[in-house]
Amino acid sequence: MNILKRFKFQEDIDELTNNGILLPCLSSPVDLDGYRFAFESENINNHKPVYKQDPKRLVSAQENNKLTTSGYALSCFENDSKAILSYESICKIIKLFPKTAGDSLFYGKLIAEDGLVTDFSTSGHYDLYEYNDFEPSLRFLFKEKLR
Amino acid sequence: MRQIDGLNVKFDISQMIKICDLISFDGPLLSHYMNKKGENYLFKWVDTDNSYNRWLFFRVDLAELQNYINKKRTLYDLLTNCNDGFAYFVDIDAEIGYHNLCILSVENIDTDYLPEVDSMYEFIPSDGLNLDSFSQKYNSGILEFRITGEQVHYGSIPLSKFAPIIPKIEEIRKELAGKYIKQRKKQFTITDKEKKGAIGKTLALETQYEVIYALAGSFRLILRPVGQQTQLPDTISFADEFAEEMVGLFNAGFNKELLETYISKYNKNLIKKYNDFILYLFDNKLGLDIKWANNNSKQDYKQKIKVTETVSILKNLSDFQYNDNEEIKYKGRFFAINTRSGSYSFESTEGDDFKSSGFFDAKIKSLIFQISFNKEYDVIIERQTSEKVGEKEKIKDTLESYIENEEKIELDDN
Repeated sequence: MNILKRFKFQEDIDELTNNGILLPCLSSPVDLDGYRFAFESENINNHKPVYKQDPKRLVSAQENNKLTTSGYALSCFENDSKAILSYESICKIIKLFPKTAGDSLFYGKLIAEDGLVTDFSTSGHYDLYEYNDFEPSLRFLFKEKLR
Repeated sequence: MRQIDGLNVKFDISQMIKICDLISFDGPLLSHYMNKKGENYLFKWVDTDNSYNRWLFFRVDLAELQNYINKKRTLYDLLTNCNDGFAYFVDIDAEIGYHNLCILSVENIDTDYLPEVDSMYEFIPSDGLNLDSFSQKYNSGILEFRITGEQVHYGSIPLSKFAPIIPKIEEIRKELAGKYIKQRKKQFTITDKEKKGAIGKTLALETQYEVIYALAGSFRLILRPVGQQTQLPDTISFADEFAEEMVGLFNAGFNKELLETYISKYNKNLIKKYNDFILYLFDNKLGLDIKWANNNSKQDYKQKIKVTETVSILKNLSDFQYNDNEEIKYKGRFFAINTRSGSYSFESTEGDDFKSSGFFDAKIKSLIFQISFNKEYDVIIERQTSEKVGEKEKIKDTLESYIENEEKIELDDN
């Protein structure tokens, strides 16, 4: 990890880690494919981590006290087919999912200067913890409309 | 967001306890909650605008919920055929304030808020249980055992797998509690017998648990201490201390140094019981999460043992050998001696069943021809006990000294 770099939401993450919440294992991306959902048109929540979106999607105040560092990271997928499969599965249950996650698929190749990433889950999902100077709207470009 | 023409109702959502997130992507989308009465509810995110997130929620039987998770029913079916015939809607703002709470007949729900007809469950539930909610509700620390692994489904486990777990956990707790109470009592310098007795009683109650729930989300047992020690905010209770030891034991299996600490602090029986329990998990392909949360003291301890990790814990335990040396004094007689090899067999005449077989110490080996089988001797034996976890105890006795007792004894006919 580049010790001179700070995460974009370092203070929020520090608050959690000071309370015993652990960061997951992270590594530097090297030309890593990143597919993520966002809105094709301008949107206030575009490329914002979930805890920075307004309003937060939580049911109870107790949940608000049990946040994890993942909420300050950007969700990505390792390839487009896994991203689309995940999107369509959720849309079957939650028809208006595009209203909260975005209506389109964006793509960018992540490099070490962008931030740190978690391991892939079985669904191909991983989190990107952005560095302070990373600008996601310049890295992730529109690929296709999903809905 | 769509206009909902529902009937305004009161419903205390803040008292609901989250059991599990069934679907989440950047936060929950479909979550299982439980109310104070133990009734199950599904909360489904349905819509949003600049100010609110809208959730639909409805009461569901646990068996029906299990059918959904086990892909036997769709969510559409669960919702449109729910027992109550209606669902609740609530708009939640950024400060978790609840607005426009209403009920609506399921036939009148906007189709955009319903799942697709073929809405089968294709996800992995994530652990969303908030122990703090239980702690707040019971004004007490809460201990959770969550069992995962083969044949463990959402809120169900075969009885044959589950039944042996409880006594094994209880054996570990008993061993830990016995020593913990002794050690903790020693730290008090109170001479007043009554006060000392009261502390002992509190310690005993704070280290015993009662089951308050068996819950879904794999299979969970929720326990709380039997005792209810009065606790000032942010102060650590006996129950917190003991839970930390309990959770720490499950962590110690991963680290030989920590294991050594536990062994020196407690005793070999505890490690044996711990080994038995981990072996049981291994044999049955089970995993375990143990968690403690206390809302008063803000103490929070947890440890996860994955199914695949039990083998490494067993390996650490098998590397451990318990050694003990003790000096044993007895009165008795010899019933076998080999003057060449220097071996002996000795039995007590003090009215107990004590027997010892071993070798004479090299320093006295040359004198053993003087020993008579019809005389009684006071002997000192050095007993070395060694035991590898999971194996039988090995005893090595060395007879250090013997002094003839003046009285002659009658030999048995045998």
